[in-house]
Amino acid sequence: MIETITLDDIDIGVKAEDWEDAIRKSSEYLLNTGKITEGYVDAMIEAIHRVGPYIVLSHHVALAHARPECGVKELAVHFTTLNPPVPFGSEQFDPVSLLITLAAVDADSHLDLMSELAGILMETENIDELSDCQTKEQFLETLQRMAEE
Amino acid sequence: MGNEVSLRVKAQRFGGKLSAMILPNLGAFMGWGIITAINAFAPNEMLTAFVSPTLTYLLPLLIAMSAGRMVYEEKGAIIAAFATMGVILGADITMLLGAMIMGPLAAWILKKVDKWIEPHIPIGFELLIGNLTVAIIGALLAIVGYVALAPAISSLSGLFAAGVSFLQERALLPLTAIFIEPAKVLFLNNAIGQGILTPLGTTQLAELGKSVLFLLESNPGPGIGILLAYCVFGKGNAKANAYGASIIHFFGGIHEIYFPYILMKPSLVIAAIAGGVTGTFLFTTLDVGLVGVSSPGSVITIMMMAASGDRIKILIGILAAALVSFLIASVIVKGSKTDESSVNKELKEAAKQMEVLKGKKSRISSVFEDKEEKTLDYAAISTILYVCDAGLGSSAMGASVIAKKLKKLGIEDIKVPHARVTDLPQTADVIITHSSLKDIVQEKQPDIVVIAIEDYLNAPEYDELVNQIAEARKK
Repeated sequence: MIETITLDDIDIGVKAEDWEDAIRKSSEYLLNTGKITEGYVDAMIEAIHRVGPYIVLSHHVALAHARPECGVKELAVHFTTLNPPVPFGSEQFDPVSLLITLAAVDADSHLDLMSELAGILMETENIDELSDCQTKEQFLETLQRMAEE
Repeated sequence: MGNEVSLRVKAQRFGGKLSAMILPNLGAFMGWGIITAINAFAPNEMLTAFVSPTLTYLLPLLIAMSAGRMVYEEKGAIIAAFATMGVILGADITMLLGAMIMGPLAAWILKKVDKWIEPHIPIGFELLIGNLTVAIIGALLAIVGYVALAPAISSLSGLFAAGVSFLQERALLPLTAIFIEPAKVLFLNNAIGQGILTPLGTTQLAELGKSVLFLLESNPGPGIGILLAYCVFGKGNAKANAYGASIIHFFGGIHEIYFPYILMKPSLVIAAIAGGVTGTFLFTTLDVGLVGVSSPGSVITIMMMAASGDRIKILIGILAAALVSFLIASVIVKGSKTDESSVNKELKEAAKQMEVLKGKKSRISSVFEDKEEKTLDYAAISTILYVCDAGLGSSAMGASVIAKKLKKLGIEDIKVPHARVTDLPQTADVIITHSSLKDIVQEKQPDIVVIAIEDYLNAPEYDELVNQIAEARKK
């Protein structure tokens, strides 16, 4: 599914005040295109308040998400690099420089995407390389190269 | 049997609720006890000013808040405290009992009203109306508390107190041990100690300055007698564990530790009762008491809370209780002709039974378990369940990392499904989850090994698990 990602699904060097702001900014495109509702954004933030920064997957990377019933209209994913990186309250893995916002419609249809992403993000250098991209074009190119590897 | 069990469970749940109102606040109770004790020892104006308002207002309000919070979280705590204020002001005795009634009641009423009113609230008015319900219902309940509940509870408290003083006057208080000791072993110890004796004892404090009631359940004498009998005459694990258990019980005040010994040999309850009767008899005859709750029931906290001048006498009572219980328990333990291995088995079974009785896994029972970790049969693993909060993002990601790692080693027949934590329990051979969810997962699936990770993508635990599986399969 990585190959379907376009330049619109990427935001580079977003400046956020804190992690809430980061999640809100990373959701803007999905909101504007009607893929998710305001409620979904709130649910993503509320979950972190409730359970802690469990969405921080590893060094400098977080996967913002909530349940489909919280307001997902269409399967979508959005990549946001944060500059400067934003602390999410994870002792081990802060600050987050790559924020991936996931809108899943059910339990399964996004699993291929998850698997592809896992393959890329398992290599810590890849996370840094993606975070360091200066333009959307560069990010997309890098991501697709990594997916093929 | 079915009826009996459910009755016991009901009593235990009810007792659990009673003690849950008191337990979180024991620190404040004991703090108040310390101030009172210092003040009795070296009276001074500042400390005197503390004693009465803390007892009259702070302690009942704390209890009300704990009770309210149980029913309806923070809102429940607030209305419980507010409504209880009416009960406190309407009575001239300490309203711990009032708090234990009004607290949960107020929170429950608010919860019901909120639920009914919620669908009718126009958008944007939630906060205002939410506050108004607390205000209006709180004010009404405070008035009801003042006018109706306070006098009712005063007379109820009077009735209890009359019952207690009836027993005390006729020197019948020692007989309460016949009820208290067996009930303790059925894990009603907190229900009795904190749920019943603490409020009654605190009422007595206002009159007498000390209360013997605090000693009835917390006296470690009967328990230590039984444990010492095992130290001397026991066999196998029961003997080996009894030394450590004695220390934990007598000085640590964790009475649960001797319960399995009684459950293993129920006739020992006679020793406990005899010890309890002896102890309470001496406590009442010597006219001793504590100035506050002693929790846990350790000899150290009891000495801290002893009324001035009573320490030695209380110690005598505890030791006499221990001696009587030890003598009787010795006869029973010596008389049993079981061999070592069956004793070990019995003890472990008793510890298991204890968990069943308690309705949850007890930290104490682990003392009696063999010192081996829950082992995982790596070769037999066919399902690795990945659990996270939402059950589709982080867990899906983590699950696919594990699947990739397995595949790399040529293992393709292991399923790696993912689930949300609320959908547990599910079948699996091993569960992986984020460390923040480990406890709740383990609680829902106590029989399955749970591996906690921090790093969804590069957890060292993945490699360990996958390699162990590969190793085990080679064999």
